Amino acid sequence: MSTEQASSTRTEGEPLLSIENLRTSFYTDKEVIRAVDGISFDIFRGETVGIVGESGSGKSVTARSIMRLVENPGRIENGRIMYDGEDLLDKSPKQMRSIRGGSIAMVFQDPLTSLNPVYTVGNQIKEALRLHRGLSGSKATKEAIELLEAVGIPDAHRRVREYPHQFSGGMRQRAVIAMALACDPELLICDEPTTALDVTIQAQILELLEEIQEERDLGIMFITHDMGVIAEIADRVNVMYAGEIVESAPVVELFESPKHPYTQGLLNSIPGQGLDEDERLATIEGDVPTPNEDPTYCRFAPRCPKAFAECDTVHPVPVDVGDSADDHRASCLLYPEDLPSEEAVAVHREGGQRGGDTR
Amino acid sequence: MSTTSTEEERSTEARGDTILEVNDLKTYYEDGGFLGSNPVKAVDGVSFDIQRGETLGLVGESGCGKSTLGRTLMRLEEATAGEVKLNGTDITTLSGSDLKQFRKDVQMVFQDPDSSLNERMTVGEIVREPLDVHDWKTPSERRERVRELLETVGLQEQHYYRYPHQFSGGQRQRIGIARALALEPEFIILDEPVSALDVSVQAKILNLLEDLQNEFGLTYLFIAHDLAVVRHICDRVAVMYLGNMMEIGPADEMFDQPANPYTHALLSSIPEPDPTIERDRITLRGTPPSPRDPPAGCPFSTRCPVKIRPEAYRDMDPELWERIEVFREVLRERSRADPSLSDRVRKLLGRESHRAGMDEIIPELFGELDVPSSVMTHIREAADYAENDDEDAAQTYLHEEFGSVCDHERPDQLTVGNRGRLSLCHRHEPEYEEPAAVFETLVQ
Repeated sequence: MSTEQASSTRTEGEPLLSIENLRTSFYTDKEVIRAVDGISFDIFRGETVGIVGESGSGKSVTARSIMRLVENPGRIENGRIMYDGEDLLDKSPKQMRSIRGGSIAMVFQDPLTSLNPVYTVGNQIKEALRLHRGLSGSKATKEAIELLEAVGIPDAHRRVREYPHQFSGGMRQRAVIAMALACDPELLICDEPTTALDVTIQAQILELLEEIQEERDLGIMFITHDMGVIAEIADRVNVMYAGEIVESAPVVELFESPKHPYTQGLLNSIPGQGLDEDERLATIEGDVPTPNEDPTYCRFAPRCPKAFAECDTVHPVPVDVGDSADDHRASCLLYPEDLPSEEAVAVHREGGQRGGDTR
Repeated sequence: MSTTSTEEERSTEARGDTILEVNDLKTYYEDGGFLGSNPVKAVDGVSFDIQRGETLGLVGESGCGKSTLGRTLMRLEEATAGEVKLNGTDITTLSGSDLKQFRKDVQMVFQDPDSSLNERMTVGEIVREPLDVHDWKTPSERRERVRELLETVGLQEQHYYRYPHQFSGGQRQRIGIARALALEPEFIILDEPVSALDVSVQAKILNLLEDLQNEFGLTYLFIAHDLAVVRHICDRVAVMYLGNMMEIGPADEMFDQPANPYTHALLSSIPEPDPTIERDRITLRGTPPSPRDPPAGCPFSTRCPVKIRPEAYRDMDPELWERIEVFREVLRERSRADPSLSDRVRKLLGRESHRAGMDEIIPELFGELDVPSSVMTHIREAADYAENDDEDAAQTYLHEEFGSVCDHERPDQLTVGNRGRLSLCHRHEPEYEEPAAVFETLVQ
């Protein structure tokens, strides 16, 4: 398959995908909901970037925006999605179709909805092979069987002729991954690929994704709400809250010293974090707000235990948290940690004014 | 069940105040076949008991029968055999007013607050409904009680006249809990009460459930698939697999030192929210077998990584052993799958069927391995049977050659440790090595 085995670290080379200041809004009669509001991040080759957040934080809309799958009344309003030196937002629908499933592939949460029940699994893989690689006939069948074997489906010769309903849940997700791999993508977007599966099956799928990544040097964007899964699979984590990335750090750094109060709260509310059986779980008061207006304040402030007066008037921008931390950014007025409070707030105030619309 | 398990039950009974006692409970879903029906054995002979005031966790993968067990205890499903004793009365045969009284004492909170609350009723009406049904005191007292309940679960009195859709998921689950509390039950079955919620909301509901338990002295059966949650909230845990209880015992002990191979594998597959942990993960292969046709021996024998091997193959290369197991799995899958129409036509026409193709699967499985000729003979023999569309014969052949006590005999629930832990595994018998010891060698 992929001949490129160039292992890259974050410091060298161009990112595979670079998202700059992306904003996706949904227009309803009542209000405009900024489901994704000014986020930026990069994905490098061979790297797994995790996106975590609670439901409604904008994780899935981010993925759909990259694939240009946002449907009415949603609109991508601002920002750039740079892939291979070009902005995906400038592509025509036809160009997009060849990119989707070609160089960028996606795996969804529920494998049953991404498989067509009236075609055999083999047929569906072959469709992708025909559209993107021009293979047909017995060549395509052979390739489809190889792909099913590559994702660990035993007895692939028979399985390729079976229908999705004859597959178990884990097998279906494997088949969907096989389909995604059919065209040798460079970037795989996984939107909660294991949420619908049992833990033992989830372990199988995570293992499979790691193997595939190693083999093909894939960039993976992995969306989940499960902190355990993120700790397991991601190299770098972006934490989303109300449409914004509130913290971004390498995975070990994030779990060892979370900086944003939201990340801290989120990690503390997971049961079993060295907690005594009788101890109560930490909670975050209140609910996730709907981001429906210009961000002129910190959206987490109403629930934040560390909020102070400026949190209501200054919109925090992502800043490096301190000297010691490497590549660790948080959008919180408490940071940079090494500056006195007023100066830190000033950094955010300026940053907020600088970042304007680009589209 | 086995004598060991009944003895154990008696000893636990003596220990405390047992609220619920389940003996050899079976719930089968018949498909109404006239002759030779093949029921789904959702719960297949389960025995346990619950002490007053404790929380028993019930965990397992989807389809293991944990929800069916919960629903059978509620009399929402009819038990096929066995007994369920609540405070000493067998509830599987209750009817009429006795049944109605029983329904007051046992309540249930469901997983999905969307489908378990009637969208057309106000919150007040929903919570009041059980009171109305059981003709609890006067209407004005009922309204007062509902207001009280809303407060108890952390909602406000003025929420009485709102509708469920005006609430968030966590609040809706609170409504469901208020409804369950309305008749002052002593025993509540919580069927995945926090699975549909985000972690921060989940934490609040778990705290609420603990508070309520302390306040009203409730007994919980907590059904869940999230083991971290179970570890946090439960005193004892029962692990189910394919309708059987694989292991039951104190939560802390079980999580620290799982005895049963299935518990071991299940625990090792949970991702820990700590990226620095280096773990020796045991990834199970395949999926659980169909509950219509469970294995004759141990329910877990088809996937067990520490299955007892026959004497002759103890020293076989683990990789090769694994491949043989996969081969058996493939045959099992094939015999279960109905032949498609085109397969049947091909067979009628005397053409080669798609189901054959052993010349493809054998190299695929064993190609890269150095297979001793004695073993290869057996594999070829089985493949020949399968080639002639006789998967059953092939399976029997492999079963006889490579099968062991795990394939032939259903294990007993054996006592592990000294705190009343039971585990369903042949390896606890003195003549075999303990599962934990075998896992040690596996991960090395």
